[in-house]
Amino acid sequence: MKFLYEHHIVDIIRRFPVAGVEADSLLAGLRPLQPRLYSLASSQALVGNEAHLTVARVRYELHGTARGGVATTQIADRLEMGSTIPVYVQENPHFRLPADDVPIIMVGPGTGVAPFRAFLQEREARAAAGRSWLFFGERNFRSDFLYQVEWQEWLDEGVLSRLDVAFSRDASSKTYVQHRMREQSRNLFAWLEEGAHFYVCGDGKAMARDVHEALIGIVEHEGGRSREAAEDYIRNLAAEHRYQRDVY
Amino acid sequence: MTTRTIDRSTDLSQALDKLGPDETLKYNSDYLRGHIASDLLDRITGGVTFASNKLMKFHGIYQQDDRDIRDERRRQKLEPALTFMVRVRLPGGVCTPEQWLKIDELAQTHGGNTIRLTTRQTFQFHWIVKEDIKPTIEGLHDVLLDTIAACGDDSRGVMATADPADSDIHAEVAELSKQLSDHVIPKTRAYHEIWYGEERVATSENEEPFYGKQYLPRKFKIGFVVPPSNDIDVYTQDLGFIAVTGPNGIEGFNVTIGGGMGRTDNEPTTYPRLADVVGFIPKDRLLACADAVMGVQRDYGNRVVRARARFKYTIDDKGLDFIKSEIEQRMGAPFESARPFDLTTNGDGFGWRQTDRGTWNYGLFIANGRVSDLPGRDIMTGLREIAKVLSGNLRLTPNQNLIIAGVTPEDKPQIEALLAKHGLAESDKTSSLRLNSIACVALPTCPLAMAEAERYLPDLITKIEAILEQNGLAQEPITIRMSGCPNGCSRPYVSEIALTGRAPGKYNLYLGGGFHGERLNSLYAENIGEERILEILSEKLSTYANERAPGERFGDFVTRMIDRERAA
Repeated sequence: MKFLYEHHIVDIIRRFPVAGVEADSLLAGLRPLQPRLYSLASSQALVGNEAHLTVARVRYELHGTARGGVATTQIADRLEMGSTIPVYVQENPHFRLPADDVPIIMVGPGTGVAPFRAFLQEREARAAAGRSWLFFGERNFRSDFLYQVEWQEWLDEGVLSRLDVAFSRDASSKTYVQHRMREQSRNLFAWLEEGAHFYVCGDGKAMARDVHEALIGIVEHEGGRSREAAEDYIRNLAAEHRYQRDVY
Repeated sequence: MTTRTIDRSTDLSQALDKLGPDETLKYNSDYLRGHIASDLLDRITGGVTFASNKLMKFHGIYQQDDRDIRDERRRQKLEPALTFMVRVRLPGGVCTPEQWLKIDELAQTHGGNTIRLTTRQTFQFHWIVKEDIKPTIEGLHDVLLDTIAACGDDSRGVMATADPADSDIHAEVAELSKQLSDHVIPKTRAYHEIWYGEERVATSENEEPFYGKQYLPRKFKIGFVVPPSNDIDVYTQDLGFIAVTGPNGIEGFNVTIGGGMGRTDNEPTTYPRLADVVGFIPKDRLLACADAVMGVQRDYGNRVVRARARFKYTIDDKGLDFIKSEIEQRMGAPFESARPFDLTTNGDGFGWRQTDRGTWNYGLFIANGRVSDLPGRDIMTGLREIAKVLSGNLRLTPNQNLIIAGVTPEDKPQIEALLAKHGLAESDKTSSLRLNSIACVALPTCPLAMAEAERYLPDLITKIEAILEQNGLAQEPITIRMSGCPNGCSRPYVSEIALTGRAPGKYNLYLGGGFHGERLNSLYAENIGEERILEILSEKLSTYANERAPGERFGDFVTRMIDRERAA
């Protein structure tokens, strides 16, 4: 598995060339690419007949050559303005805004922030009264603060009540969203106690786990509960659909 | 005898709601504290709020952004690339080698590896990000420098002639500029609390016995000049002191009031104004005189219309006689009649000069005051190496050049070798026009700039040099100054040739300023590009070369010509 993970088809062919296989027959033997799922970063209530995506170009190096993510570089580098691509909508009934007056806490580092932009657009369009709190993280404040001016405007207008940000590469000690959550643990627990819904979107490998751990810790510490009781508290949130995750 | 009624409807005597919004902002700022401290901690923006931005000017700090990438960032939904300009308070432009090395270190760590020497003889750091302002100011504090009142509605950095022939006179005038600067800066503890982290001490004392809660209506500029040099352009200062010297040093000063360069684009009621000489004061009346003059401006200056708030308009609105008598009353003595004086140039000297103390001063030409390492000219590295071995001091000139001062005869060969090693020797072997040029910073950092200045003037001068060459004028000293906007930080309106930015690539061309800053130039052509600028200059310079009277300066000649054209 590790070998396959580290070698794309082209790498295998380069390494083990087979005489007599032409490009056409090779392609015929391959399965079509899988569709890529992106969270919508917009609400039709606000932007009308548009759908916004938040796409980070995937770039990396493998066996000494520069590689790009198939779909992300297709969208960002190769598609021309005005061209069309096949799309479909896959609904996610487990990642929805609550009633307008219910407070929401959103944790969305990197492109994980996409659905929360849609949430706030929706809440702006509906003039929803509920408070909202976003935790956002990226590498550098200067270059990677996705939708910075939109959050600033929403903060000014009150659509967004709080914003805490963590930029991991700006300081000597790496700071991530879970650190900002812990810094705000008292407030965060108070929001949960007041019925806030808690959303996480983004990287499912490290971030979602770290955020989950931080959440348990906050309930333990601020709620004066044992580890087990805190875990129960979080399980209960999930059961009430107040803890929703969209991780990948 | 008739008593004139003085209009008090726009000044400090009025209620806040009758005055401009800046007055309320200052009044409510808790003596310049405002919300600066909490804005510094806000991670959502690289900048500060509108109010803090205004107040931070009083602390010597301006919020700016990289205008070259403003559009690109807008498309990226990012706020502008906000950074801060931090301006040092350096009375008289004198700094020790130790201070230079600290400035150099801070520029490397926080300031984009470049230092700007300004037209008011001080250092400016650019490109400082919000979280680095505090370490920068703390670093300055280590070498007894600060940035108090380097900007804002207060008395800014005090200037002084950089290199008078008499070394004792220089020492005295430098010391007086320091004393006066310390005297006129705001006294609030806000600076110490915000930047040095000092605790606020509860006090019932008035934090600003002189300024009060509303400070001055606008900026206020003071300078000392030692004739025959007029390097500080004394006629452009709100308050100028022309040193009158005798066998025992400085006896006193001829006082000038009401100079100012700034004009506001499309505001015909704004204009540059040369200062008036109002009389002589003995040396011991210096601080009393400054208090009196600033007090008059504080009490009578226009606080309704900011564009009309400079002291020069107060004088024109209330009348010079009234202002003068008001000053005399507050000073407790009348001005004596002005002593004779003679100013001859507003330029700098370059190269080596042996002083009356037997030590050597070297005038180093630095194009537009930009200290950085350029191909073949390691200005920043070279000056760092020189500062490490220098036993004298370094002086920033009002023309954005540098004097390496007090070099002992024994040390001179070493300094010479360092200058040569870093490509700084013979820095003055260029056209007189270039040596007499000033450009402000303008793009990409200055928020006011409408056109390029520092990044463009050197190229334009190269093209004008070709014209001078053709006309045999390469060694003719002519002043040329460029500002990116009409505000005039490079003091353009007293220059023989001046260009002020109107739009990208478009300038207003002014001609005919006095060579030593004694006469304003006049607007010759509006909103023109390079081609037209060169056409006009080519015509004027060739006529000058052919028809000038012996010894006649270009500014004098062109003024005569323009007057003749207009009369015809």
